[in-house]
Amino acid sequence: MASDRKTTVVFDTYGGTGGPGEIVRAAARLSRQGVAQVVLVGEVVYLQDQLGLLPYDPMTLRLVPAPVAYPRRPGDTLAQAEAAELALPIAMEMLAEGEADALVTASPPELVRDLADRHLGRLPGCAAVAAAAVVPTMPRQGKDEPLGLLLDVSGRRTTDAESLVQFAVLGATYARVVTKTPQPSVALLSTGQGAHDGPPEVVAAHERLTSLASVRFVGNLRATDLSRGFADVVVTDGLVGHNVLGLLEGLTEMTVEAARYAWKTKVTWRLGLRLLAQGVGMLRKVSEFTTYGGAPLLGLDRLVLVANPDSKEAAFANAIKLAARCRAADLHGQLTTAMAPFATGGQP
Amino acid sequence: MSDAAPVPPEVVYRWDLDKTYLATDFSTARGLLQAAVESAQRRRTIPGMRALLSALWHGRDARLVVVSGSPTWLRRRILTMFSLHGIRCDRLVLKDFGGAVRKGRFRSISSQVPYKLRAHLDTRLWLAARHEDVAEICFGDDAEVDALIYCLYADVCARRVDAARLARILDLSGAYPDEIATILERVGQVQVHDPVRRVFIHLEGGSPPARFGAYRGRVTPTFNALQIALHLATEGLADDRVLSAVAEELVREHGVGAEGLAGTIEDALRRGLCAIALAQSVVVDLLPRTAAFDAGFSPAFAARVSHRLPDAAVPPLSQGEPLTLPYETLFEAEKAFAKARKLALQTAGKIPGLAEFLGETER
Repeated sequence: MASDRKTTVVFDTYGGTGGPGEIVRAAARLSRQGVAQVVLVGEVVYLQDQLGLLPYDPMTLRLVPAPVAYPRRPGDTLAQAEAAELALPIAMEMLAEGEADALVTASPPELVRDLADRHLGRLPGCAAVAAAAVVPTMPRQGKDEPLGLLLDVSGRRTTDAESLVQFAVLGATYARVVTKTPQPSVALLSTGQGAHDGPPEVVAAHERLTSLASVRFVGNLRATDLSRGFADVVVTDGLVGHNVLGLLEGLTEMTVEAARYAWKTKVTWRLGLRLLAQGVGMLRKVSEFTTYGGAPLLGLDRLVLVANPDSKEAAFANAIKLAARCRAADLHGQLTTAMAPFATGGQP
Repeated sequence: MSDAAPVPPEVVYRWDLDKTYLATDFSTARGLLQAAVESAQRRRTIPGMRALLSALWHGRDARLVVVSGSPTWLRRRILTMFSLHGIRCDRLVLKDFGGAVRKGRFRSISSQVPYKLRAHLDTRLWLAARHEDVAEICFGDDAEVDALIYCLYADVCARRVDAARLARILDLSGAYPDEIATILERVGQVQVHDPVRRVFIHLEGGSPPARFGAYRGRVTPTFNALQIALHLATEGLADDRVLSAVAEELVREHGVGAEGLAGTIEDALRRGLCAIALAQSVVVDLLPRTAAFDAGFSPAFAARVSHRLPDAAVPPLSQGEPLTLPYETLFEAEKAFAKARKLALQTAGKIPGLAEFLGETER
């Protein structure tokens, strides 16, 4: 059971395309609400200069130095990756040593996974680590938020059924703890809805999940059904998930661009957009990947939340709250219990 | 009875009360009512401040002067509270709201500068009459214009601000002509000497520390009592006893943990409030031997914090020769800040989370 002390969340401030400013603002704001103990790893002099301009509480906000990164322009991804390599290992080590309960980073996901592999252990019985992502779905009855969990989105190939089954268990447990859905529905992403549709590992995973009592498996979903909200958790191969996520992000961007074009081009279109403003705003709120806060790497023995690189203050603040919620609900204990049958070699 | 002249004290502590020593909430009707009816026993102090004042007061031959905007009818309750805290208040000046209303001087109810400046000068004269022309350490907060008033008080005593300019500043701050005349008369009676050694502003109202940059290093913004103790210890005005007492109160009565104490010390070091040697000694030698140990400040934790301290250190702030301040501009800036803050607080109820952000709810 989680103790009474506050959750300590460590941030790598070199991650993200917007620079450390967004992270500093989120940390300063939440420090005054006492939601969690926040530790910012980065260039201390710069961080202190930024903090000096904001109201904050040093009792819940600490700074840990990292080697100074060269100044960079927003969007300079190469320099960003180099800078992340300076702060992220320090943050990861603090997490591994137990100085922090959770790590939030907007650094390149590949780097986060590599460092997590090096510094952190896995949950007992866990064959692979899955990167999860929150995706927008159509609103459905009985769901508080029109959101779903897609995993794995790591970009790594998942070629065995065992890993897919474990991802389903991890994803369902995470969804249950975080969204408080008592029995989240789980589906496999495949080429068709039939039990024999898709590659061999998906067919085999389908068969195992059908007989798994701990997971409410609702069958296969096609890519076209992904956004319809038929399942709370959708499990797929890491490479497919990565591409699906990229496609969704691209579509969101394209929609925003189309609206911008319409706004500039015709007065009547502008008028139409004005009339639709409230609905468009709601749609944008749901589909904006940069406000979700962070998605977890599931299967590790510590909590790592990976935020979108374009995340803003609100997203980082949400990530801190999410980390606090995960600890308060004893996510680690729940995941360990859920994965225990895999550790003992029995049937979950 | 001895004929010898009274021995002057070593130091005078000049305190504001609400939001500096007492955790008063004036932003809600409930808070106001609570402040009016609460007994001396139930008065809540700002975390660590009771231990700080008590340890400072008992540590040296000191005088305590309190100038507050609280109404006069709270006098007995406030004195009882100090006595319960084991502190003797040598001078307590409270605002006569009834008198202001009876005389129809409604501006006096809200204006702070003329009232507090006059009270500071009066108490200074009282101290001087007892041959107690000693250094003063002033404590205020960011909710009102305490920083401006303390600096103006020091400049007026040292005659860095002449009578004509003082009259202009007082006029700007809403003083009545006879109030201005009385204050100018008091200034003439005060010995030319700058008694103010240090001004601490407790950041209770959610101001960023940079807001006090305009005071050109004459004001030290602090987040909590431990930072004040650290700065006083760096200047040789407090010792380990004061630091331990504050840490003990923070841990035992307010549930502050090891992370909170470490964060406070690191922040003090980064803002030049504390010397690195002192921070190291507090972290490694002092805190693990106090109640902080039970809150997780173990020698292992102390070693980890101590290892990172040199990276946070900047040279401690030195007061140097005081520079005169652009009071007219500062007063306008303070007024604008207070107005923006009031507006934000009125909107706070409509925007989820804003009230907490502004620090107006209990944390």
